[in-house]
Amino acid sequence: MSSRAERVRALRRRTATAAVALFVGAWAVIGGPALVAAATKAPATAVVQPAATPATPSSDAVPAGGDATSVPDPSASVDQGTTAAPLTTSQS
Amino acid sequence: VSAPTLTDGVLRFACFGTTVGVRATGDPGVLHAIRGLLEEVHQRLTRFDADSELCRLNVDPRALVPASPVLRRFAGAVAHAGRASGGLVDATCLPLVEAAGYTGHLEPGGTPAPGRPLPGRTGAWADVGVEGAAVRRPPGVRLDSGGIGKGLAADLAAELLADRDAWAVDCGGDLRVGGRAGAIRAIEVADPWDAGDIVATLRLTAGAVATSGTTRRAWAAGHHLIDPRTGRCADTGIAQVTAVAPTGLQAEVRAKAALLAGRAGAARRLPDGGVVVLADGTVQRVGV
Repeated sequence: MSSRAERVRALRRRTATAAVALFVGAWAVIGGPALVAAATKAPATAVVQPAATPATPSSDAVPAGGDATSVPDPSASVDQGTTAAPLTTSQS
Repeated sequence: VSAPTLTDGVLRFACFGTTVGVRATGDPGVLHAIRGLLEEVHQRLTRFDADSELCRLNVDPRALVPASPVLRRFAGAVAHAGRASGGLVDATCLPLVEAAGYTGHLEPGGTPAPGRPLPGRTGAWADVGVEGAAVRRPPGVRLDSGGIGKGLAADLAAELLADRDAWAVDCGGDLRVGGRAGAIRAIEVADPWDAGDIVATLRLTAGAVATSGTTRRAWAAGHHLIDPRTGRCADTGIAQVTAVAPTGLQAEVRAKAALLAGRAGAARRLPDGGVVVLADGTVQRVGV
């Protein structure tokens, strides 16, 4: 591990993860919860958002190829082989 | 280049200079159709092959150039990216990217050849568009497919999967997930300094996730992410941004725009949420 990475690790140990609460309210108003079913490492069944509020297109919505958000259904049963494995996002 | 593999319902193959993974419930034939589609997108949009349609467009002296549907869709994406980001995401600043040294496929930790300024200008995204079956852009303006191409590719694949109960597309870290069943999928955000570590986990039923940063495609003298306001490698106090959005293109644009906006403006660029990792290693969750 590089010295920079070690410094970062040390910083992380000392620094609590900071939440950006300012935008949580605005995010909730514009329909983010319908897109992101839940956050972080909490159990999925405990944080699924109700589907009563339809998603509102964001200001940068793309007309062609745009995709409406789906309705979360905690009772849905699908092939676990295609849903259970987590995906990873990294710098592309 | 390794051969495609189909393991546990996931088709993996080399594309876009990375590994692409596609999975879906139902008939796996669609996975191979998507592979063909994405390989075509790569062949048409790569800037590392002088014979690609994008490279031929970039040297074409005409202002209006007949183009394939894929290239036209990309040109529309370039205009969208500039418009949605207020010019922060500028796919016409390719000369600056090359001047920074990013002139070929670069593996993490690799060292690029010294760059040299090439003809062209930046900030021309507003002049890029589609007219009928042709792409319009001022001669001399060259387009960089980069992350926009991968986000767009994920969206194109998603269009073939709309009738499946559950599916996911991973274009080297640019993700699209969805399905009629509305199943929840965990998406882990990799550490910007160690891709084997996870700094956060998101859970999505449908949508896109993209990550942009300055630590992977980086070298001693800089990295691949140019700030069009300065013409230099971005230095905003942020190491990495992960953005959630309805589409891959939007996620890619939001991630880059948030990183370039810096600490004060990043969260405003993430209306559907995301994860920001500051240069000091601090992890900030935005709306998730």
